[in-house]
Amino acid sequence: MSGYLIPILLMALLLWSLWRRIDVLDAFVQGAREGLSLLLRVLPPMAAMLMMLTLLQESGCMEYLVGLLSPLSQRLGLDSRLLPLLLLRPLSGSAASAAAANLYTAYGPDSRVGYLSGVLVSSMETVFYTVTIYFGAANIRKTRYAAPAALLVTLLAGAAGLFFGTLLYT
Amino acid sequence: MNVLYAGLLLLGMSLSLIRLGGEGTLSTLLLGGQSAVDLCLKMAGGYLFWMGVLELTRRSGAARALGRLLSPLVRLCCPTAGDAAEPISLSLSANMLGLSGAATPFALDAMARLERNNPHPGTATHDMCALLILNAGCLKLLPTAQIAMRQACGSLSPGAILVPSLLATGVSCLCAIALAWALRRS
Repeated sequence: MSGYLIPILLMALLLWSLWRRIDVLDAFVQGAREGLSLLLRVLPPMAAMLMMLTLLQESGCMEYLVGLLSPLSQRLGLDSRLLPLLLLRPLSGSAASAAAANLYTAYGPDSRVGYLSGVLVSSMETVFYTVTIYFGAANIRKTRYAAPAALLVTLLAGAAGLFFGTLLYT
Repeated sequence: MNVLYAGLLLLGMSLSLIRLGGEGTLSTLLLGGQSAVDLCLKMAGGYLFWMGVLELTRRSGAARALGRLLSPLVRLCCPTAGDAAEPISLSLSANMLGLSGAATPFALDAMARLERNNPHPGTATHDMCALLILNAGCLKLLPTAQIAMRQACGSLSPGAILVPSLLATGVSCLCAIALAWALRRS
């Protein structure tokens, strides 16, 4: 159902543009040209981010952090199996998806853990990635309150997700 | 942010030296750079496509019409955005619809425009911070990625995560608006 939405909207855009006598091909090409330069500006900060993330994963740092934090999470009533997800999601969308997939195959997607992991991944945002990429591509060095505030918001989203998820799980 | 980045890097390198040794550490670091190139190549098609679409929406006036939907929000949180207001509202709309592939190039375009009007180049403006905060807490109407993954893993009701995710991002969206507004005042 929702698969049809985007193509239909695009067709509507094309028809609207033709009606307004816009040179569609030229518009697209100019836009794509900008897209290319955008991509080149994104590559260096992305390299910095992925370098750090790959290192964290390969060095076993993630497992170490989870091991450190599980007693605390037990105290808060948080399933420690969700910890890697909570820690990874703000850092990397693909790492978090991989962690969720692991939980799905290990415990089943309809188990409480599986359900909550799906909610967590969907409600949180890859904050460190977006902060690095958005500011990095525009050459901003002083990011002020953006990073901590965005992190706070996404953690809030995660907490709210756990709350509503636990409430609504059957 | 810089402290966090450098700190995590040092932590990762220390542990990596123990577990993988010197060469292992270096090759892991270089692997990160390579995966960035691979990722950018994979995203290139999407970027070219969506930026082409964006230019078309701009020239045809459709961007202005779409932007009007979210403009009260953008005006509240990014009052000095100027010509960046359009890509900001487009980016947030794309984010709401789960189109992260489109949300990023729109946001990058917004950041470039905001930087052009920046009285202190190289330092984040309130509008830039607001964009990031709103993006972090953005309402997610269609969590398609996780629904698809759940279905692939054999879930009996893959769409069951929609309601809690919607409620959670609704809460975070309101908090994001409030936080962005409050931090601008301080």
